[in-house]
Amino acid sequence: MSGAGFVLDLHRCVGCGACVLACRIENGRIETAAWRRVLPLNLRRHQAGPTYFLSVACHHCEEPACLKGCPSGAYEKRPDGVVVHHEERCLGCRYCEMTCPFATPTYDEAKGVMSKCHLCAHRVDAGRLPACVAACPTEALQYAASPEAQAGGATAFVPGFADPAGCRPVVRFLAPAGARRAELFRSLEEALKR
Amino acid sequence: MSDHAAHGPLVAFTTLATAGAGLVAASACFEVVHGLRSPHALAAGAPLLAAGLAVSLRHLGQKRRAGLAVRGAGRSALSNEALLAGLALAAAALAAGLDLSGAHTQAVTALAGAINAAFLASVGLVYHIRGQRTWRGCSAATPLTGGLAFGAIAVQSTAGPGGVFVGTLLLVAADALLFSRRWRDVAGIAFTEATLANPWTIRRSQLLAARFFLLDVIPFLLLAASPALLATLVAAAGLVVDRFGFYALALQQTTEHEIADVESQIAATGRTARD
Amino acid sequence: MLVTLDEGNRIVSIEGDPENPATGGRVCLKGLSYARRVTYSDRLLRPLRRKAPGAGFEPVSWEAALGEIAERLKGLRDAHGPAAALYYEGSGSHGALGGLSMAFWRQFGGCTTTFGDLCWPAGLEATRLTYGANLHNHPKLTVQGRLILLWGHNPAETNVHQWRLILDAQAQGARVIVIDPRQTDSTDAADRHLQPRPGTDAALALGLARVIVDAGLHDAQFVEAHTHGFGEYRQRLAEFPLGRVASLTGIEPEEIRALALEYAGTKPALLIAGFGLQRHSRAGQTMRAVALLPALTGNVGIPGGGWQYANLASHCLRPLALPPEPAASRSIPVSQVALHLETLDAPPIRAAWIERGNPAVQNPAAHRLRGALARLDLVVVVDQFMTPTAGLAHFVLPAKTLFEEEDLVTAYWHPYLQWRARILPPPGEVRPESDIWRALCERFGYDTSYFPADRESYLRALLPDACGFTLDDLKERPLDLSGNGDVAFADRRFPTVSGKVEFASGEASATWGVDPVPDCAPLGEGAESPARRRFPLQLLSCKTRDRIHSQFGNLDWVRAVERPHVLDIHPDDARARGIEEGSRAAVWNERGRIELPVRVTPGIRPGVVHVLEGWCHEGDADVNALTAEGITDMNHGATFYECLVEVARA
Repeated sequence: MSGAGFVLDLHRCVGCGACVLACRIENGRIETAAWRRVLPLNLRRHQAGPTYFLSVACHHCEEPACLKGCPSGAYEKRPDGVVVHHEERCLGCRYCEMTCPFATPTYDEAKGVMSKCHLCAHRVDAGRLPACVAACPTEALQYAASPEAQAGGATAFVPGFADPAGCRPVVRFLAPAGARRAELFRSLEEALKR
Repeated sequence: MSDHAAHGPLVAFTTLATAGAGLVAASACFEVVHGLRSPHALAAGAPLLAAGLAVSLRHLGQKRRAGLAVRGAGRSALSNEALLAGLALAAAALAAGLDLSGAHTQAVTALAGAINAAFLASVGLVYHIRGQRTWRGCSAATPLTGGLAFGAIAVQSTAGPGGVFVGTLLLVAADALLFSRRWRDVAGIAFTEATLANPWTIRRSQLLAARFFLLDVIPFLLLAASPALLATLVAAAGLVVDRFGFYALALQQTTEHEIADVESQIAATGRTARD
Repeated sequence: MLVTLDEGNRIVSIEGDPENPATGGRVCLKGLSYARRVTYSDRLLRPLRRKAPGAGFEPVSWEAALGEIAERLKGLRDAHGPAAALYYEGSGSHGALGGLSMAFWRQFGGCTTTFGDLCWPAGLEATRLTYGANLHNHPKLTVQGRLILLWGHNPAETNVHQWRLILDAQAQGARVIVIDPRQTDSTDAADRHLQPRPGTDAALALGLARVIVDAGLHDAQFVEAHTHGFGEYRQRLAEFPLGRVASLTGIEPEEIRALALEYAGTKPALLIAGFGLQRHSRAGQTMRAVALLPALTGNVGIPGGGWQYANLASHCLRPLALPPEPAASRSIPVSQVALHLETLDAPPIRAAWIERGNPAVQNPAAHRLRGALARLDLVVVVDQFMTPTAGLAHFVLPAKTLFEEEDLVTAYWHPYLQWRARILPPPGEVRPESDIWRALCERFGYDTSYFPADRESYLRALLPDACGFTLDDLKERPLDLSGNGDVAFADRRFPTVSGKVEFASGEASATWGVDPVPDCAPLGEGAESPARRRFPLQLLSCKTRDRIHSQFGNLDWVRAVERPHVLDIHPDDARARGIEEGSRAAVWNERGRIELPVRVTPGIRPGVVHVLEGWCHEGDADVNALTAEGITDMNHGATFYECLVEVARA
């Protein structure tokens, strides 16, 4: 059974960016790069495909490329699955930024070290939800102690999600709905399989 | 990958280190196989490696913690490379030192050559990253083949009279063959809004061709015609272009890229549907 | 919102108030971005005075600023009379205390104010004329709707808390249907989407009604017992057969029929109309036509059903105690400020005080308004940032943000009144507007007893009589003080002239000169207008979730996640003009011209183009260069979406 991670309901996500800002506030990312990104797919509304949004931060992979490649051993995978970065061991070599298939770790110029989403482990340990999840106005972004086990009907891969390159990300997605969009989504999945 | 400017030190490091290690490995090779000693090439290896390592420190956000880099040896390709870099430098210095002081032994030189070749291989493995679209497959071997080719060209062109060794030509040809596969892989990546966001993508043919000609084709022809230092200089330029192009053409997979690919797919589906 | 500060008074968290039943304990990105806005580097912290005409600003003391402003106001009053000063307030920063500006102006002898509203007035009047009162079902009942029809409404962008409720309903099997000329984030999630030509909604509503009545699917019993004027209404419906409606709206007859049958055949059905539906000169009659559909189908007074537009139940505070209105006061329509600045006489407007708004960018005919402001003798703008309006001023006074003054705050889609604490001191030399007005009154020697001596008791006195709650209760949680029940019109009592839902309204005719029964008259700049020969494209300028009009867009946090500012155009229209994706296009009509990048999208109706409203970035195109200062047929609203343009490669 996989560890903790996010579940994103693609039907409910409207790409508003509240999650991005909530993370900024919680983790003091005032002038540095945000740890979370919200990416639209087909915002141009080409009629042959669905339109939806991917809100992505760190996927707390089961076999994280960042951890494997880190020369100084600055990454650790906790028993609950959260992949945390230890700033005090970081060389600022930016290798994790290159090896992560999602380019999740970000480099802080001023401090000379990397950082990334840590699933608000400090909040989760205190029995609260990660800041992004708590802020999501439509309850699209959810937290699960094991997304694989808990998210009924969720999939590991949706069109637009990068090739995990063997890292086994823990994030799960619920397909977008709405009569027409569900149809287009299914066709797109079919087309990509071919 | 976000920041091309940050790669400057890495380009410099890998160019210098590949050149240095290639010289040592090639020198050892020539000595063992053909009995030809190349004191200049051997001597140049260590300083180049040292310069490369020094430059690589500039890439670190926390230079004072550089020593931690070897902690992940065995698990992390980068740690392995750091460890082997140190060993390669030490071995090269030892071999060169013995050579210069008149206590040259073939065994030490051969060992230095082997370690430096291993280092070249480890450089390739560091960048064998599945999440990087232009760093897959053959790209892992180009530091090794490129470094050896450069080293061989340098040794060959200072070898004096005696013809061009077949081995040299074979090493260069091998590098050319491998690199041509890399060329094909990179050129096969579609142009999308996301891939074109990297300003070098549109110029990839020029970069790849320049590397191919400068490091392989032209030195090959020069050596075949008449070995001279010019071949080394051209090959050196080719090495610089090789390493620069390697980083410049980097295309990290990322969700943004994937989305761009999917949007192209949607557009293509739409066109097919209309036809 | 619940805001947490650290010892240095820095905001370390902003979370939704779990005690607010409407927002479910969540905050949207704009609310969260206050953490950046309050201390943003561009924030104005000191009064500014323009150095010389055409030159920049220099900081001055409050003493100097208010002293000079007072002198110049007196001079203008002596020369022209008090109405030479225009007092313009927007809805940028809400609170009951905003009304205190009148404590100054009325003692000044009066001024020119604005009446009407840029947002919603036609729809409000249509609701009042139809149902007698603006009553709504409680938002929590949204989840019980089996069909939710959104008309000219895009809650996925403009009311994300309501959108959550709609998604919840959908998750429980409700069908979500959207009527909108554009494809939006709301239509993406919908189960059905109709795209009429903009401005033809009255025809669509009457056409749907015709299908419903012809099929005998209307609630005859409700109509018989609780409505007035159905006979005349039926006669009107005879003018809207399916074929005509299809040709007017551009929607296939089968789609119209299917929607009518589905709406009438599903109960409870909730109809939520957006403000976008009424931004043209036939707004009132259009809204009446749409608002009657719930009554027609018996969806009034039931949970999960109803008519929803703007729930103003929280607007229940007692009026502020103010001086009497002087005779010299006058008022101009807010949708025609440029026109009146240019033409008003006896006296002409020579000064403007603008606070909590950005009319130089947000009002119709914004460029003319800008030009008119630039010609005034005195312009004072109170704002948090140097907006384009502030950029035209002689004096810019630094405004507070919501955390820096205690007040009472109302809402527009749920019934909860909220108490807003003061949690931060105003930074720099910032003063809340109420303090600015008090200071001006002191300078003029006016009576300042109108201003709160003690903030608590002042606010307490504003709570409605006999509401059963105290200010302390309100500090604990948002409260519904309206006394309305959860289900509007459950008692079937409609305070109209006839005491029933009015399909025909004599009052509408008498007050506004419109047809007593809703009709569909052509627009001056609409789908059928002759003007389309020159300007064939209908321009819409809708809202984005990233901003509230022109607020928030200057923040780096928002710019990093915002939607692009582009011209949306259909591929057919683009191809016909040789316009390519990503290129720049010029958009123009007789009123103005703008240029901006293009996004070619099949999601918009052919014949319709779109630019987001809420200009905020230096160099961005301002769509209000193109809009007209029209007035709605009822209640003095604006006509932003009645705008024809042509587009070409730039």
